[in-house]
Amino acid sequence: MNISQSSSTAKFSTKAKRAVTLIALFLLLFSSFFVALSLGASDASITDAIKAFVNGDTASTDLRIILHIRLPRVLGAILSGAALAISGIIIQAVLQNPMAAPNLIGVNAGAGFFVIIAMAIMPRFIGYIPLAAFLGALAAALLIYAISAITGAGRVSITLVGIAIGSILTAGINTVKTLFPDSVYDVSGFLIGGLSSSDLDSVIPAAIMIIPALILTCILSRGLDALSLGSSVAQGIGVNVPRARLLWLTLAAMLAGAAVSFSGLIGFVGLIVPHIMRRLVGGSHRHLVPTSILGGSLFLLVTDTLARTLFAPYELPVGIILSLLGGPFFIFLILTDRRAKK
Amino acid sequence: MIELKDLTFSYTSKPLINGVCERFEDGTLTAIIGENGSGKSTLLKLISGEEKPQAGSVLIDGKYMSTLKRKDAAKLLSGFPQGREIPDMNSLELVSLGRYSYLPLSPVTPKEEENIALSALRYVGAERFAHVSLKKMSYGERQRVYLAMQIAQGSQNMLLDEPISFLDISAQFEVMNILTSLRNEGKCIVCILHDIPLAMRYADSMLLMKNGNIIARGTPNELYEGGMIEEAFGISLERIELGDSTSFVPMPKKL
Repeated sequence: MNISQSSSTAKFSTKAKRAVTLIALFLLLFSSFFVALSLGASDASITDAIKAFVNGDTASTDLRIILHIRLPRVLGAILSGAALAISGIIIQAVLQNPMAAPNLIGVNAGAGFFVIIAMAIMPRFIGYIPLAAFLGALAAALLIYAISAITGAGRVSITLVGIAIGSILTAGINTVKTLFPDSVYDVSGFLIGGLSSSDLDSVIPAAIMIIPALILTCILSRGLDALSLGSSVAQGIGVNVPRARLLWLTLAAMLAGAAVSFSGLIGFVGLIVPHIMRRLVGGSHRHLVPTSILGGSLFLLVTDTLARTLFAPYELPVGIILSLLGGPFFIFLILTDRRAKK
Repeated sequence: MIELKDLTFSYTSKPLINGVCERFEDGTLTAIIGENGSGKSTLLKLISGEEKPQAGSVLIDGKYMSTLKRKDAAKLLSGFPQGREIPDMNSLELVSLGRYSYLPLSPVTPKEEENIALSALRYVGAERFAHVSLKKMSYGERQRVYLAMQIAQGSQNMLLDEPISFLDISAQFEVMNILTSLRNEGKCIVCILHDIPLAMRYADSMLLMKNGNIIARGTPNELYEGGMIEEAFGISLERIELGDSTSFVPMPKKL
């Protein structure tokens, strides 16, 4: 009797916790959206912008600042945060490695390398950049997957391989930059990662890749649960494991590639956000994926808003803040992973 | 029913499983026994399709395993090897995944599928863990939940790789009783067992493996009378009749 009581309390409390987390994240994201729109170097206000919009006054400075400068940036942060968090979740499930993340295993760098090459070869076709980023991310993801499948490398070693691949690709990025100095500018900003150059022309093509991939991930989330059981069990319950892994890595590459195409090599979102969300709602992907979409959006929106307002009128690239947070977080994960094994 | 036809397999150039022909009938519980490295787990992996045979074929309910899609194979045959992850989910979520091949492309598990998962948990006596995280459960409790997952899968043919290892003795009996009642429902059950007395008490049929070959096949009594187990393991085995039950007791070999 006691046991069944405690089980039903457990059922209630996890359900309540999941619902509360989802609602709280949504409300926080909603309010952060407006706060982020109203903060900035100029004192443009949302109310004035809305008034101008209602009156059809398209020449209003407030409206133009908010619509063309702050809104693309806020949307960029939301999209990029969600995409990187979900890309991290997928890669973690496929590699069965909670310490993998798109930046750590070189997926972001693969996207970046292809983007830089595309910029160098076809500087005028900016619309192809998300596609190039996707192909680069996919190539890196498949390479890492092949290495982990062949060697059976453990959790820490696979991230080491990823770091090695990442540094090779970063060297490639710098080489292209040296060879094509005219068509490739601001590479250091791209390597650190930031949203300051987000405009609708770069955010919309990325959104066309990110939004369908996020919806597909939500619909197919059970497949991630199945893969996270390991290949033998997944196969035993009816998963075509090689095909599923390929499908998921393609989705992860679409998400990471599209995010990198306009926000540069932003790191650690795909590591930090899934870990915090797992603590809050558990590892079942049906709950983890939607929660992490909101959590990733909120996380990057808040850090980017801090990055551009903290030292105004100067602006920090958000990538620096994320590395400052993510590096220690990663070390913390390695330490707790070791302890859990003992 | 599971049929193996001339199954041959090796990891190296030396064949590990060499031309095995076998047949596992419905409504029987077959125990595979043999020393470590005798090829038991490899044989199970060949049946489940985790390893591909170099020659020969596996038929499940008369269908060639190699021609079936994974999803369709999972509806006929369930089973996975040891060394399982501890996923970050609760028991009901894990057991519901046993219904994977029947579930629609939607994140939500339909109520009737969830009820199948719940009754599987009840079948193994683990209903109280339905909403408990697997990370908070003991090894034995998790083992039981994985068995529930396999039962939820609902396949006619079931493979089990050491389902009772590391369980305490009462749990071992419980799991063997669960397997027996599944057998009585007409399932074809094939399991690897290390505990010879327990295998001989519960199995209808036994398969003794050595160096990748099946060296003996028969009822526990037949294997005992032929002395094959004693020879394969280098032990001595006694049969003890107590009332209407028969027990087999392994002992060190007499010098």
